[in-house]
Amino acid sequence: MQRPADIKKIDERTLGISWEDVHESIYDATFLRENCTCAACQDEWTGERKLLPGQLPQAVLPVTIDSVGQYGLKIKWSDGHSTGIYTYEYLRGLCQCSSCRKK
Amino acid sequence: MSQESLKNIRHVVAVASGKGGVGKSTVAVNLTLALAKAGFACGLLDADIYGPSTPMMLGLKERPGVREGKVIPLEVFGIKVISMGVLTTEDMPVIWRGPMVANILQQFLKQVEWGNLDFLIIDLPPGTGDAQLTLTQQVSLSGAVIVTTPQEVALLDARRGLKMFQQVNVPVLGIIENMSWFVCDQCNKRHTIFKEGGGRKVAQELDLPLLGEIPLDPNVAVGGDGARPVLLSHPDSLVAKAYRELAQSVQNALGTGAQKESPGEFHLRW
Repeated sequence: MQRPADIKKIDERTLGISWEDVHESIYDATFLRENCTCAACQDEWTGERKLLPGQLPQAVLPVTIDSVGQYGLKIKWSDGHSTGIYTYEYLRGLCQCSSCRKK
Repeated sequence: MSQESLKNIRHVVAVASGKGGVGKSTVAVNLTLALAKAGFACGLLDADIYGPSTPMMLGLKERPGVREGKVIPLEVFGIKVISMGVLTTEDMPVIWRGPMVANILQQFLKQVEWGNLDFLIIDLPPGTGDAQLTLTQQVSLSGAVIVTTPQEVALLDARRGLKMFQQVNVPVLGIIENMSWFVCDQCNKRHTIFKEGGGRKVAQELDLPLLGEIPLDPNVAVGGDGARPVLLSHPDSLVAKAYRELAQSVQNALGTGAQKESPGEFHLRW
């Protein structure tokens, strides 16, 4: 599993993660919120998304981002949502950079 | 996540087992004492909420004090200790659902005044449940050690324990085989009561170091139940020697790249 070397706010809407293998990932805040994996946003058994793109009332931004043990991040959102854990493995797979999107 | 109470602790090491009855608490107590004897500042957090056994092993009867909203851990034989067992009475069962267990563990971690420590050893309850999940999610563990006995069934559960730590990205430092062998005081020969080499085999299979092979010794039970752990009551015994070697192996394992890795504990305010 790749681990982050650095995690930073790039601009008001963008989270950046530099990985140990020097890959640089960027994530749009709304995209991350829409891809929350908690049971309220995604069915635990079928994996079906319950929160669909475009359903969020307004542009939601992170309030705080904290590490969870050694394996992921927990994001508290401005809409009050905070139950999702984004594992590093999952975040790496979500990377929106052009070369990752081609895969 | 606030982790103020833990930031002055160099290494947080969890002692785990896939199943109960392998002597995990005995190993945790004696490992902590062996590290303390080697000159390190050590704490022991007994996270077995439902069946805390360290208070009896260490003869702790008094309740911890509170200062400025923080619990002061008890001190015995040169180590700091906190356990559910010192917060309830001995004959009072703890009957709680998972969320309560998570709450009390968070308090043990955040609201106990551990101070500066080289090692905080966490005695985990057996298995892969709520307590283990809370700890691995709340604490940036330096590593975990898995205690097993030589039998196949215990080894099977050791594998489960390993998988749990791998999933949450906690480095497993190695396997400790407890009740490994026995030296008869009559014939002075080394007997392997269970199967021989089981711990070594599983360590090889899982590609982990075997950190120690702790022998069976009646003095362990006498020491444990008599509130003076074997490391102190019989410092010249083979089992005490095995614990001192184990303490060295754990230090070595932590020294070789298994320390808290970047970014470790991370907090970002947007």
